[in-house]
Amino acid sequence: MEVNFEKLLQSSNEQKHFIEKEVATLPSEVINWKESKSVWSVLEVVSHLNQVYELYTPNFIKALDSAPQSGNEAQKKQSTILGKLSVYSMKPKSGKRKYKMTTFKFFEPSISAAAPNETVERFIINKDQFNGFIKQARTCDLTGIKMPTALGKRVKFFIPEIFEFLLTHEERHLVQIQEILDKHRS
Amino acid sequence: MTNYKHLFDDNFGRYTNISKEAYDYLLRVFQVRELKQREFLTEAGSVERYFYFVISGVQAMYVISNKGEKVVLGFSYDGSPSGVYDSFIHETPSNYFMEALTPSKLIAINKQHYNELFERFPEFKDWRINFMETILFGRAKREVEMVTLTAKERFDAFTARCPQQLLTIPQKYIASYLNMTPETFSRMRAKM
Repeated sequence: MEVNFEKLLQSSNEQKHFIEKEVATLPSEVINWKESKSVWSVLEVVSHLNQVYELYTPNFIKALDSAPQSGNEAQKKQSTILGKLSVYSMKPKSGKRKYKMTTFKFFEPSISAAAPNETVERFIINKDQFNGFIKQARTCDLTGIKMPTALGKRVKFFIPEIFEFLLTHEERHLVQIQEILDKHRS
Repeated sequence: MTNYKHLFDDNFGRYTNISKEAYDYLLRVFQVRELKQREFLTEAGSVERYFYFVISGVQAMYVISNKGEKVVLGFSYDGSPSGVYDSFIHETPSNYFMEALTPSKLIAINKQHYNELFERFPEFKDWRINFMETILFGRAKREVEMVTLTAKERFDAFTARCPQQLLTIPQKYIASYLNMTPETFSRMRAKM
């Protein structure tokens, strides 16, 4: 199997488009609405995604800088057992989250309700940067290069696995955003 | 002086006399964009912001199938229009990638200027009608070829009409465009 960078990039662009179209345009009372104190608002979900991107960004920069340029279009897909498992368990099944997962303490959203625009703008910046990493990786030889994850210092995945992991993680949260919006409407 | 004025003559100029005022407008609103080999002109999932003419280079348009394969739908090359036109017109995310297969130089016009062009110079609409007809009839012809011709006949039809420049790009792109395996393509090419 080969890494499909184009497919990763397309999914990532579609997610960005969803935030731009469906979230950036929401009025402040909707974007901050919560069903109860213990669940997240749409804005808190976006803020959580920002925190995840911002934690991974320096790791991407470091890992990609160490990768040599390559003219070879086909890159063999390498995977770790835990990486595969993490992507599989995250993945929404037919557009639904089968069960809830809790995040780490350091990924709990922190936002000032006064700055919804800033949170969404930050997301777009993070997303563009992430897409830049996919494009950079596409022309590098990534063989054997692993990168630390937020699952613990010693848990390392291959770079394309992390792309997939983060996109699947985000897909899950976009389903969550849709669920919050549906509840708000009803 | 710009070295791409011929693109206006060869495209718009075939359907209307380009006035001095129109030339000035075109030269002002078209911007040069350069791409390295393998760089994307347009990414699937994002909105196409420009319409292009190619100064030099070859670009491929492809879609990623459900199986994850690249399926090539067409090419642009020296002198031809480029970009993902439906996404550009409707301002909806593109289903296709447009990738530079060789280092490329293009000129680009954004949507606002593109609309303004036809408002200020309605005589350019003849070009636009012809452009749409060329796309439509070209796609129809290709569809017929795909379902009625053998692999060998598709290969012959393509090599008879394609610009020489296209024969320099990686074979797998042309093979995909002709809906055959790279192996079949290279076997036929060897027999040419």
